[in-house]
Amino acid sequence: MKMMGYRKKISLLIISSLLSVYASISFAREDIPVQDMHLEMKARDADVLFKKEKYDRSTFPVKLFHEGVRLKGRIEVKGSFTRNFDKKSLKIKLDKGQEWNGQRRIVLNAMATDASMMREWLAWDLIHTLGMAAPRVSYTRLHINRRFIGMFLHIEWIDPNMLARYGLGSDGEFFHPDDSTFCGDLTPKSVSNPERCWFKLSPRDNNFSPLKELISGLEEASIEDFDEFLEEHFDVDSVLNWILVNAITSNGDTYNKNYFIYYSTEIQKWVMIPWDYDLSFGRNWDEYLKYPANILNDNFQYFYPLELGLPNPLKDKLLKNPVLLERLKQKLKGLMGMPVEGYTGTPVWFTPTLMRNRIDTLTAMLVDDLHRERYTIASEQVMREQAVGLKDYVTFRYDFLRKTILETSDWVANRASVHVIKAGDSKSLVDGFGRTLGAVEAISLNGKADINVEVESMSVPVYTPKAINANSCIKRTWFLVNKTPYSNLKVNLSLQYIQENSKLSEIGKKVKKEKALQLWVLYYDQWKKLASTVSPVSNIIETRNFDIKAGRLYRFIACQS
Amino acid sequence: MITLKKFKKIRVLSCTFSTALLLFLISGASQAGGWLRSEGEHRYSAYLQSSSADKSWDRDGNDVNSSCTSKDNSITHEYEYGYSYYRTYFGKVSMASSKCGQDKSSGFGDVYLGVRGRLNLYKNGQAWEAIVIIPTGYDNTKSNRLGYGEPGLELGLYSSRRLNEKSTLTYGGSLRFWAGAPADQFRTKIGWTYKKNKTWSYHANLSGNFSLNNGKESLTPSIDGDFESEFDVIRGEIGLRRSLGKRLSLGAGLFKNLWGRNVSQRDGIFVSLSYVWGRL
Repeated sequence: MKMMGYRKKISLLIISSLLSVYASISFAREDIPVQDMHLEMKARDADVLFKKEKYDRSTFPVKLFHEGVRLKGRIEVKGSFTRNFDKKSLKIKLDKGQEWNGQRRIVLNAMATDASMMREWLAWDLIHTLGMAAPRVSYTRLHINRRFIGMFLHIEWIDPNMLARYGLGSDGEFFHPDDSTFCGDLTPKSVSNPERCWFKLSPRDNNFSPLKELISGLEEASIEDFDEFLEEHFDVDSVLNWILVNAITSNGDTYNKNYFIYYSTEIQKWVMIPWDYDLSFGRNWDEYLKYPANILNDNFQYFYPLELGLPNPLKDKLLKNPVLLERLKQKLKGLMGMPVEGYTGTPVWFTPTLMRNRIDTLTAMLVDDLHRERYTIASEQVMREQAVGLKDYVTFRYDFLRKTILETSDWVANRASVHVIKAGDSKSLVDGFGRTLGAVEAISLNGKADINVEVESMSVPVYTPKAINANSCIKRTWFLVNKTPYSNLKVNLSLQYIQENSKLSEIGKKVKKEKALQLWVLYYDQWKKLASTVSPVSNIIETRNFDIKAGRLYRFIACQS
Repeated sequence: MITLKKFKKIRVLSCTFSTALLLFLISGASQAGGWLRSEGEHRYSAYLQSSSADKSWDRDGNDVNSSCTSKDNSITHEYEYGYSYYRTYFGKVSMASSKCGQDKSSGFGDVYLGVRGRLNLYKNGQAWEAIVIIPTGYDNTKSNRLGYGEPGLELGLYSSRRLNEKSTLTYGGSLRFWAGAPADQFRTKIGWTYKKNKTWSYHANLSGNFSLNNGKESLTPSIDGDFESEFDVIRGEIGLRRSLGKRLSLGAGLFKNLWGRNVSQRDGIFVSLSYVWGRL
């Protein structure tokens, strides 16, 4: 029996690995679809559209060229916070009787809040990979009066017709939280005055009783029986996938906003549809800063648990129900290319290799048009820094999820060990709480090596070089030792520090320019400055070709001269 | 010693002085003229004013006691519509009642129909304005008439400047031309608005109306050849406004004539209501 179980596990591991390899190869060669959209407007209107005051809601006449025909409609700026940017998100509404790819309403997101211009596309790619009912998304090069304006992200208009395409019918009850009131959290309070917290999108009536009934049921359902409640009332996969997407992308800007909920008369279940992922993949809202810095800042996080985001009974009870939690974990394992119990059919999507390939492909594609953008969001350098930060996020988040949710951890903080076997080995140093302390990449070595790293966190370095003020350092000291006798190696070493929000940050108060940080190592009794580079997005400082001698303790600090 | 003739003259003067101011108050009762609506946006406002005066300034700006206390009440309805990003159309009409001793008038005053356009393509608050004034069927032979009974045309320019995060200064002026007898006018306004928070704002305005002294003949009833359409007045106003959500706001305030010529020394209160709908 034991042998049978063992063989089964090996088979599953092989299948998962093959799927992962196949997926990584196939994506790297895959073209990311990009479309061109040509608009014609009066020159004055085209100019005013991007330069007028942000609160103005005027629309302007526009013509859209499509398959040799000029489709007429009106164009306006869309969004609320994004109106602050020069590059505006747009909405086109075509006149009655005219459609573009089956739609009268066309949304073009400027991606102005995301210098990488990738976060939303990546999130939607994950959502589609999971098979969720979701809008079609594609990069779109926008031209107005034959002039290239910029790269936008077209997101299909969400309406019952879109849902019908997924076999959910178009005559259901369709609701969306009001993003400006932050109270659409599926609690009874949210429906005490439903018009305050919710929009009823269809049918166009004021009947909130289906939603009230659902929320009443959610409130009464016990945690123990929540799996049964969910099976009876929801498309369970849509709920699990929604939470998974938020967990993988670290999207906490939801659960009281930024989603749709639809009761399908076809399947007679409620379906979740996610929304708005521009501030995901490591971005972090800062409650201690005033608007707009609370949204747009340099904070970086990857270590929030599955429960991240505001309370919501659907999420909270699901995560406490053992059956549903186990099902969620198996799906997560599948997405992460790890062996699963039984074949769930979850495609592999979230591995560091796959994601790095995606990000590199997207970077190459987006950089081409970046210099032609009429209203630039960010320079190429900033964009590439964001792309590097994204790749780091993926690695860190993968390790965090694996360590804290899917595997057994020793729950020891600020300490990590790796075993380096050969040149080319690249290992992350992850502590018992899933936090990445750093990484080593072996360049050369004369034998296997056990590398240990410990950190003193959230405190200014006790020892610094003479000329350096401790407050101009990162509030972290790293201690590294190679415990294997007679083992010497040369590595590329990267060390990570925390900048979670303005109160929880290891950046010293006198550090004015993060990129000017340099790594120092205490070498016998001498401080030595190391040639180093900083990735400010993911808070990593790196040095190359560093020699590690067996048994020697190395103390590292990062300071600005 | 006040003779009967003099008494009648004073009473008529009191009433006609109040007419001048009534016209001024009604036509000025609205928001600054520099603001355009978003395309597709509608705004309705109502201003209820009540004022009284028992003194006047004569042609030379001297104090004159009135034989009666003139009391004026009016409600002005105004509607604005953002026809396009570049044009806002608006109209207003007042219902007023004016009483001074035994003399009473009530009914609709003039109708104002106007258009506003942008002087700055990208920034709101800088605009030109053109208004047509259309008399309605009130009796313009009464001493406390509700209007001159003549059509008019007003052309204005307005601007606003943000002083800091919470304060805005608005200023502007217009020329009002009348057909027939009434003297043409130069009108001006300067105002300061302080936005305390999302709910409350306060304002203080100074507005002026200055006659161009080109009245062709005396309006009836004639008073020793006085051209009572030739009047000057500077009015001060303070008020506050409370927003009740995105659409509705309520206001209240006080106003007072601070200086004048050929016009009553009036002070009063107002309350207002404003409702916006359409593109929000």
